[in-house]
Amino acid sequence: MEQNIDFTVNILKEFQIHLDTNLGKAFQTGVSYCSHARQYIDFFYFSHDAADPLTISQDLFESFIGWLRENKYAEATVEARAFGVYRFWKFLYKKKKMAPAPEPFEFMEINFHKEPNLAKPISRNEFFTLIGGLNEALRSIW
Amino acid sequence: MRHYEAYGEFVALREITISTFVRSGESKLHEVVKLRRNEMNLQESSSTFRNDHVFTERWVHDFLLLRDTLFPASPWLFPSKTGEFCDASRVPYRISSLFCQAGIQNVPCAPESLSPDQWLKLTTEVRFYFQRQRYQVALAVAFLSCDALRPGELASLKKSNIDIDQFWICLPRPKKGRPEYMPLPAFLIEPLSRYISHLKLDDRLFINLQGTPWTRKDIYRVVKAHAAELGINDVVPRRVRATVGRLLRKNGATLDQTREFLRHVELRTTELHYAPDNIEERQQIFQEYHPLSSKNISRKVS
Repeated sequence: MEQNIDFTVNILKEFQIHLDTNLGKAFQTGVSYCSHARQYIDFFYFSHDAADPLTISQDLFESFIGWLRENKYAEATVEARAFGVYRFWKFLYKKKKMAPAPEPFEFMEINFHKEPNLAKPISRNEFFTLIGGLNEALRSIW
Repeated sequence: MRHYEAYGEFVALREITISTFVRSGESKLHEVVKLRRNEMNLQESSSTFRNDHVFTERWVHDFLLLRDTLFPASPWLFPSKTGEFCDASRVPYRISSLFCQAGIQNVPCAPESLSPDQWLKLTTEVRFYFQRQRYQVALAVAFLSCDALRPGELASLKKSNIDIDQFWICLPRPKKGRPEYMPLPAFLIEPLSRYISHLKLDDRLFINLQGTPWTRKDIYRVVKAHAAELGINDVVPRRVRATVGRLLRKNGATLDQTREFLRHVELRTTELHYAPDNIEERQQIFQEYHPLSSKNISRKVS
């Protein structure tokens, strides 16, 4: 068990370094992807024996997404986790040879049903009210 | 501007104006604080005191405008928070405090004992420090509504990102990752050049009173507060950006031109979030051709 924890910590550290140095991702993106990958590892060891080597495949990936949906995660969260774990899958394949080559994401037929968060524009009148007093305020700058 | 924010600027301008009166030799400090509002007239570019002495200093003019907005009912020229005349014995202390807040230490506090250099600092650096918050709100709203900038992009602007001669601003950290350029509207050139003349080359355009740079949350806060003051609720930068996109489309810009202006990588983002099909077109089709439209019903009846 302790071996598993050490292994998880090390692999996540390597993953974060890979995201940062090789891919040039922002720090916060790295942190988020690592947390998504950790959730996948938790899921993996929850459904597999502790002695099994960590891996990921299309079936496992789809089951993970299904498991997130069963646990009532919002669709936007499911999408974000899926992208994080997909990146982790690529990392495992390229660096560690611990997983089969990932299919391109578009071919996996995974659909996310999230509602678009549309920005509701303000009305024309409100917009002109908003900028109405600007000229006077800008003239007062000295 | 909200009352508590404007009050800080008011106090600074009040102390500077009181000092102007004292230094002009018109009256002593304890007489100045008891002057009444009707003894001073506000004109376009100057202020006349007791009909014979003219003050052309801009800060006196700004002070009177702000005073009349915040304390319209007070009979005193220099009211305190309660509307009564302010305490003369506290004026030197407050002047010293203004210098301290603006980051200038070890300055004598009596108005008449300030050296010409210190007086210049008080009326330029210190004054600008207290008026800056109001200027920033106007500039932020202007940038958002003209160039439809994202709040994060606006918050990260520095003086060095603005090229007044070439009429553009360079966005150092846009969403795409590489620097992008946006046009500078003509009406912003003059106020912006006056504003940035107070800043050093590497200074941020927008900071708070503690000197910390604004974040995107600050942009959200000021835009929302500014709009609420004008009676418009729930206005956030993203909605302003969407409105600009929609207005561009309404005025004849193609979807691709709108995408270019809003700096989206994918056309679908523009189409889905910022400039969807105009409902007006559908309304027009409905009115023109649908059998249940009021126009067609009246045609049938006649």
